[in-house]
Amino acid sequence: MREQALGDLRISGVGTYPGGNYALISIDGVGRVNGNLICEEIECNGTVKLRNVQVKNQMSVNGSGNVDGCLEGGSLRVDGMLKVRDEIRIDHLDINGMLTGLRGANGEKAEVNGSLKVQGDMQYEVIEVHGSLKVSGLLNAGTIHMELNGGCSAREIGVEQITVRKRGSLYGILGKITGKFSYLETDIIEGDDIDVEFTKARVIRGNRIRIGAGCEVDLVEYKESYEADPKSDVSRAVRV
Amino acid sequence: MTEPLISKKELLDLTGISYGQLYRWKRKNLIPEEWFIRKSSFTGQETFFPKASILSRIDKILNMKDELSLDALADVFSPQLTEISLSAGAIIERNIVASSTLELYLTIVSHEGNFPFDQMLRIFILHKLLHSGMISLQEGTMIIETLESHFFTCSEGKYELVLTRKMGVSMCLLVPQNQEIYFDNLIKEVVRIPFAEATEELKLLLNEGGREE
Repeated sequence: MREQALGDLRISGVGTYPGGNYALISIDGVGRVNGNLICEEIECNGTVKLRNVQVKNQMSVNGSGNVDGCLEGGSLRVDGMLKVRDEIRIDHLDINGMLTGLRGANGEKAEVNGSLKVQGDMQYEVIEVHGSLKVSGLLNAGTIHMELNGGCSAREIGVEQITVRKRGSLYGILGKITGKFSYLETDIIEGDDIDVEFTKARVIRGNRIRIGAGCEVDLVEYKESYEADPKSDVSRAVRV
Repeated sequence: MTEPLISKKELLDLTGISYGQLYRWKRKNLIPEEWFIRKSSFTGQETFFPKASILSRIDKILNMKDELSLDALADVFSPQLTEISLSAGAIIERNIVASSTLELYLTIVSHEGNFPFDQMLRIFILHKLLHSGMISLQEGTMIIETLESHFFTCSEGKYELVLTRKMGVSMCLLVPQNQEIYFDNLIKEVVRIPFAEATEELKLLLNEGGREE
């Protein structure tokens, strides 16, 4: 490998650039990069269109972005909107705006305060949701903590530990309206410790299960303990 | 694949592991994605696994998880070749292959210095076959020649080595893994070794520090 100090790429205004290897990339305005990018850090303000991106440290998106390829890196903060057409492999996700991934997401920790939509599977060690999370495939995590504030859904959830809570209506009337639609909807939840509220599921299977208020579940299968709130609707619960 | 399947529920009952463990191992890539087979059953969509593969994998994980970290284990199970290289002396000393195997290999391929992992893998496959008693020295020579010339084109781990005999004449092939091949009636399949399996075994040996015999 050649030892060479990497240059920076700054786009202000409107510009189209080829890809390459940079230390810092900052894009203000409308920028487009046609090749693959490798960089230490990237900051996008405005509208950007990128190909495959590999970020060593941090990527932040404040305007709207489009990644036409894979996005790989240490951490990503989205305050605006970002769409990634291929896989997302980011260790730390911090979503305050909207992130859409069209081919799955993998990493260590995801914090979703805005909205995250993943087509395919999502695998993270720790997931914290205060906004909305939608996964079309399997949501696989070590621990999931959800405060329902918008709709959350996943085809299947596999976890070590999951807690789902409905947040108190902080927003008055608006909160009551959006609260109506704030459910976690899924086909199956499987895990060791499951503690959910306002969840609609076909099957919930696990070791220790607590079904809180507002749940609609067809079948609960538990190993060690099971508890259900009287305000929940569980059709059948069996110990296996 | 024609391997019989096992449902997720049966698997957990049989092995005593929990959903949390199963999903953690999947996240750590200890259990490959392809083994999670979704099928519809009378209770809706359920997940199934290839029975023999998943049982042996879980058995290995349970046996080794106290000695190796999950990440180290993931490396053992990945078909990727690693960077390790060993000298001829170290290979013999650590009992990875028998010295006779190495001598035979060196009569076919001239080599000096350390052996990189891919080369060790080829010698290891030869060793396994010779020690199983299923092949002759000449067949061993043929296999090594085949592996030497074609290994890199099919080193992605998804291939396997097949040895056949027809009326005493042997032939070896490298074919994509888990493919059915149909021969004429006189051909007998003698042995079949998936590269991924041999890679896994060799990595374990390298981690443990030697073969016990």
